[in-house]
Amino acid sequence: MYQNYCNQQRRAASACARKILLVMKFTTLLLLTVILHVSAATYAQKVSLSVKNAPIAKVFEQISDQAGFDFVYSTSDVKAAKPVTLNISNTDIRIVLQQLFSDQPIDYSIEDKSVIVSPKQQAPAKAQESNESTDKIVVTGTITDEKDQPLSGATVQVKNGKAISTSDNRGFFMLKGVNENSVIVISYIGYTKTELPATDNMGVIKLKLAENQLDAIKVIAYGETTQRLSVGDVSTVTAKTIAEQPVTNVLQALEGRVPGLLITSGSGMPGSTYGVNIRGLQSIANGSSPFYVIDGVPYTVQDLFSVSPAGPVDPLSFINPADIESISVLKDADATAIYGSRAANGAILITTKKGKAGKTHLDVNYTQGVQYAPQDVQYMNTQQFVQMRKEAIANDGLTIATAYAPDLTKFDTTRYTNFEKFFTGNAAQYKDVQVSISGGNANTQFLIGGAYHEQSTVFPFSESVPRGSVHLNITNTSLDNRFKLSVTAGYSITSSHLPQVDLAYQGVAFPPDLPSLYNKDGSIDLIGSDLNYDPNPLAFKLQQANNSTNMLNSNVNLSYAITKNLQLGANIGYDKSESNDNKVTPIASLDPSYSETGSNEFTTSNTSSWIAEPQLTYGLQKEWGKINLLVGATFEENSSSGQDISARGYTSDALINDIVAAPAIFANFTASTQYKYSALFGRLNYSFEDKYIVDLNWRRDGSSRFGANNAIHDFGSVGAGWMFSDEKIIKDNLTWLSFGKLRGSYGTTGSDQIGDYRFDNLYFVNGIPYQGVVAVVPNGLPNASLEWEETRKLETGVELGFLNDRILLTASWYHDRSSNQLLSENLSYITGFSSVQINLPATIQNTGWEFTLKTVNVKSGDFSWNTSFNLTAGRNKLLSFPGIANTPFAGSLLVGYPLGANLVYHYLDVNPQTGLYEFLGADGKATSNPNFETDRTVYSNSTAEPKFYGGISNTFSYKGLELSFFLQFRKQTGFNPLLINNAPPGFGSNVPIQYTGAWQKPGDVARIEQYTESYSSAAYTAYQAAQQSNYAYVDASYIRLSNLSLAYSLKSQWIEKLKLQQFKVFLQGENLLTFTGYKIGDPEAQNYSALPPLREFVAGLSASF
Amino acid sequence: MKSKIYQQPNSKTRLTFILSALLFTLGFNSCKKFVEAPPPATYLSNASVFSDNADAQAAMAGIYTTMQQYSYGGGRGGLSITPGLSADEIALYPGAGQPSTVTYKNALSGTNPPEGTCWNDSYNLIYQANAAINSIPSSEGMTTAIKNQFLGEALFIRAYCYFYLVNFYGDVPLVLTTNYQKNATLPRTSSATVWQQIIADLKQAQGLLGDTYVDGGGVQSSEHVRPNREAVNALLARAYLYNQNWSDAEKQASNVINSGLYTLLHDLTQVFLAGSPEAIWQLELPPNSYLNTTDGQIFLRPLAMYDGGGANAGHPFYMSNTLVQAFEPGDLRKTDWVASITVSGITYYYPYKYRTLYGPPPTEYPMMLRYAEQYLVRAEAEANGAGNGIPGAIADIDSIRKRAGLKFYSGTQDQASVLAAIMHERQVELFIENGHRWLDLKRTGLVNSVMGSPGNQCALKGGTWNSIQQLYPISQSELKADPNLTQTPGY
Repeated sequence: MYQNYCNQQRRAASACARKILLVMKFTTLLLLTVILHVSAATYAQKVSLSVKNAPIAKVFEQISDQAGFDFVYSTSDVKAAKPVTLNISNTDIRIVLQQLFSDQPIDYSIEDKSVIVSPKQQAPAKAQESNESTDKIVVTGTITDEKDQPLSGATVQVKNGKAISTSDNRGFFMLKGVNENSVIVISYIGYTKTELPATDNMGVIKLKLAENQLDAIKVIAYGETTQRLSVGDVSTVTAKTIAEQPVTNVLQALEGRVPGLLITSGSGMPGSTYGVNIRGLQSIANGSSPFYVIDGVPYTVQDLFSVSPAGPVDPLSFINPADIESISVLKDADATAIYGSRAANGAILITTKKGKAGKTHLDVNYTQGVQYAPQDVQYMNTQQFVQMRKEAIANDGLTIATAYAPDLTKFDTTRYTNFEKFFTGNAAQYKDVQVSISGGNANTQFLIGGAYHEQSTVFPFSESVPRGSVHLNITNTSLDNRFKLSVTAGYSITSSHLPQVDLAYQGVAFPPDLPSLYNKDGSIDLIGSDLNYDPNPLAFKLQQANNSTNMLNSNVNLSYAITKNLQLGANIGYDKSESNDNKVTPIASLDPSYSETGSNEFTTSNTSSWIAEPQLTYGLQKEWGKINLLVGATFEENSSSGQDISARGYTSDALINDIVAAPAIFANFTASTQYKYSALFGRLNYSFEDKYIVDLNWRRDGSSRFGANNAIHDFGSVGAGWMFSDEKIIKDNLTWLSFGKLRGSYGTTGSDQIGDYRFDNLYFVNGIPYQGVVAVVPNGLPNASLEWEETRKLETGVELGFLNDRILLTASWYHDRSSNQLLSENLSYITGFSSVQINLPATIQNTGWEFTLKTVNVKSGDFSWNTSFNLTAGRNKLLSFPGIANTPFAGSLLVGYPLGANLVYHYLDVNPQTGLYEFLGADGKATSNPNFETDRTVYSNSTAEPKFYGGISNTFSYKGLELSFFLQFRKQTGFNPLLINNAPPGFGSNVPIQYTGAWQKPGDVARIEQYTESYSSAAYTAYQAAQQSNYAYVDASYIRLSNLSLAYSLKSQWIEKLKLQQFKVFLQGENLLTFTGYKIGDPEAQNYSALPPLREFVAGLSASF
Repeated sequence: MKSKIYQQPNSKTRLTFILSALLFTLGFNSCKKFVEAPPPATYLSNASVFSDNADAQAAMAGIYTTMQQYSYGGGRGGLSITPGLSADEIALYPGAGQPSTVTYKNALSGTNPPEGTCWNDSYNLIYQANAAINSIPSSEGMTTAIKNQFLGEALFIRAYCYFYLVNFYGDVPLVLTTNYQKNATLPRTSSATVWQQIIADLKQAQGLLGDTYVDGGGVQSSEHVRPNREAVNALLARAYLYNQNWSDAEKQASNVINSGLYTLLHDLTQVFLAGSPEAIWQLELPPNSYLNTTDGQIFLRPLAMYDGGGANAGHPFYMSNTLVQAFEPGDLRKTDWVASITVSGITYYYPYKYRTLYGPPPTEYPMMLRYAEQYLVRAEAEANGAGNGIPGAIADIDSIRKRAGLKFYSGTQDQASVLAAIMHERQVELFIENGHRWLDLKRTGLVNSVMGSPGNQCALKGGTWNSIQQLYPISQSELKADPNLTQTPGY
């Protein structure tokens, strides 16, 4: 019916979408109705009865009225029952029922809130049982968590027996036909497995939270698991690890911590983006970001357009790291296939903090500290600089003249300024306050937190970047434990005022003899001609890039247990971000010798997205095993819009932030896009005795990013795990092996990170009016067949625990192949355009090993020492690319080599006679002016992925004192810092001291070729060639002491005296030491002329009241 | 609420299953519909672009701005400079870069195709025109008047582009749709067929366009920046002339001349101004444009003015001696349309048709079709026996000479002399303007003698003439991308 509706309304796709919304609203309404019903029907479980010779059906009605239990029976069964006489008051219903049925030909069982009445077991069954020597009993009990809340769905089974059951929403269970002297095993995810002797009434059984990290809860796609039971490859980082690091972007806290996850920090500017990649580059031309999910809701990590000098702002920088409870990194097919088309690059699941039941408490955390730019580049002093300049000018056959060498003629060559120190040598302030109140009762828990964070820059004039955020969570469970609701919202406000450019880049390379940047009266010298460097970087004190971003993340998770086994739920999320930028150039910052006017550039960027994911889960435990089935659907819509407007000609600085006051306004661009996505997904998990586990995942995806011909696609995976340590033969013989699991998975995922509308035949506004009419021109050739890039992931892993899991070792091997690459294919211009977007059969292979080792080295009394180590070694390779010759990638990619490897010149050395860099030409002769087309004969190492990388953390704790440090390491190829600058040494800029000792005269054996200051010199040509040679690639491996944290928690008796729950003081350091052979600057950033990642020292305290 | 006693076990569960199944079935079936996102607000989809007058108007504006922005608007690699270099009009400063030099020395090859993007731009414009031609007739939202206007304009644009393609490259792929799968492997079409298409398109456009200059809304406009019927007639006259269909050439040129819409301006400095009464068709520049025409930007900042003419000079073009010496004494065109600068004792002449560099607003527009040409078209047709014959031809030459301040034609009245006079008049009237000289040399067969004989133009430029250079080669990447595309004969 609905389908018909859609077909009739072919044009009205949006109407169809509205209809779906309507359906969803209706579903929600339906849910609410059920909830209301449930609340109304929640009565006490105690019953009072006073009946004499009453028909049993009447008694059912009375109990039903009082306790809210439904009775399900067939009239014929009940007819056989004897009249009832009972006199009891305020007694537990279960006891009442026992008495009621004790002498009847009928029996009963409790299913949820229903009492199911059936005829008593027949004799033959009894006879069979009586063959056994022991008596059968009915075991009942109630399972609760550590806070006395009932746990529904806990597995209760007879050890080495067949009987199995699960607890209901009140935690109650019943096992029938249990041998009297058998053992009952109770297990629940995240709790220690408990074994108890079977008795008929076991009372309340309180489970303990799992201490073994194998049993700690891990968040996975649409659910939870533990490392013990997980078939997929999921790594988790917890709040504790994050809290040890004074970071503003949570990605920084993950660097080096997770095998397979490569994070590279960009620059030290606040808000800068991080490179994030899971298991190598999967795509030649398109995005390779992982899929981010916050509390079950996808988080769109589109870099917000911004005029910030740090480049686009990373949306994750708006999430307060302190609000995060845990992060799961999903890597293999089993873990990711259920995310289908979006998880080819892996997924990162962020779970925020939730309120917990218990006394309401207030947590306060205050951190303050400083950040420094590591001043690890030593620039030439004036003497060395002047020497270099003179040589350069002489080498070019020129004489020293003011026109091109004011630094030698006009400036005072005895003057020296350390511009690195001047521009980036200041301490940036770091301040962070977190306050939260949380608590609640058994049914409702809440958490409300507020945070304020402030960070300034290392520049000579300090501007701060404050961020304020609130985080709110309310969780409610209905009295009968069947309905659960969790509402989470986070809102952050960030505003930054930064200089328009990275001053490190702008200023550190100034000639060291440059005159003062200030006038005699202390004001900034703005007369560029006077300074020869226009503009004076100090003018950026006024020329600012301002950004303010507000971001809302909200989600609602609902679930309702229809029966003990069946649960209906939904994740609903809404995110919104608004970013306003302006880039102001006031008149006061401009050279007054020109009559210039002020200008401003206004940029706005808005995104919003909503998602709804209804889900149904079904779980069943039988003697033949346990199944969990999940089916669900996704509806998602993202919209973004933005514009960039230049306003010029301001004659007054006072009005410069008013766009209307500008005499000339020009719209640079406007953008508005929409992305729609929908899916159906399912997962079937089967496990037998938690020993053999099989997972099947499936997803059918539809995305608006693809052409009409290919909008729908299926993805799936199969995974299996085998707990071989549970096999009797191993248990009996390898007693030192406490845990052993083999797992493997294979499946497909896709990547739709290709931008919106790429398939469509669109006309865009080219910005040039014709006869006053805005003109539109075609954007390119449409391709209605565009579809997903597809990745096939294969993984096997082994996980071992020794000595009661004190040593945990995991090793994984992965083998991923990404094909159907979305690239452009060259076309003849006769088609109107030179290329078209097309899926090409290029295949990229990523394969590698990942290891983690977690050990408890010492655990004696008050002292413990834990170590955690991880290592990743991956290899990326372009496996095949049929038809590469007819693509723009011919000549830049080579089959058999990793992405990021370039065809380059074969570098020889500095020729002692000519003083120029030399290369081996294709003809076998050395040349300093190689031909780009023919002489590139060797492939460079790839800079895209390290050979191996990882980290090692050690935590020592003694009583209240805890010391931890984290080292990360990387074996990688980087860019040769000697060849990073666009211009070779000798031009007017200062350069690092490593450039001294250049070739001077024939016969010199030197590492640096002759200096030059001319773009037409042979030395310049040779320098440019060197940049495209294998000499431009050097080892950039390093070991870094990334984090050091020392914390002291007050001992409990003091805390009690102070009426505190917890009190802790701490010192933390970030990016403290780097050991590397990389000579100039930071081996991670590999660009000494930009602001490197900062070094941080903070101190703080946290208290809980 | 009173709880109920159920006699049917599990009915609730069953109901839920049914509900859920229903929900997911709905979800499943609406999946595909749901993901159809509407096009972005800042874009138009092809489906909607010709759905109404306003959007179609924006797409037509797109065609004109594409012309104005790229090679059809002038500049390096544009319609004036590239053929000017190939012919005997433009001299190149010795330090000029490689691409101009090979064109200049008539030493083009597959690896060194002519500078600029004329090939690419032509086919991009043809794509846009084809989109219009194929979509407009079936548009439901456009009004008939605007449909006729835009269809006529698009046909005219397509013809204009093919005119240059067929003259520059000979046989060229004739692309009439926007289907790239089909077009990507097209071979060359014989030039005769391309000419037929040009003439057919123009004939169709004649019936669609009116004489009044209008804007994109069909409202009368003072500017001549969209083709009208006379622009179609003018191009058709030229097309017939090139195909030696003298009578039709004469007829079409007469249509233009008799339309009474244009005048030959006696003040030559006014000819290339925006809105010039001599303009049959110009391209509008945006009113806030800081610079005037791109040809103006090239010629008005000649090498010497800039940086002494070093190897990096951005403007290494000036007028050849042949061209400078072609002017008769007293020719106002030399006075008003040629300027010079003397550097180190050498005088360099450069075109001065476009006289102003800066706006805003721009005061000069790129001239695409000019009235004076029509006199010379008709003169040539008449000299070949059409219309009023030789006397008519001389009368038309004299109209042009009179305006240039020259005496009337005084040579012999034989056909050869008159035709030679016409060629001369074309050389000095239409110099460095939309490639006229190069195309004239080629179509009249003079090219081999003018360029080729020892000591002639090509040798003067430092090259060696080879007759294959009459047609331009196609770049290797084009041949690679389209396996059925063959290189221009001889290359």
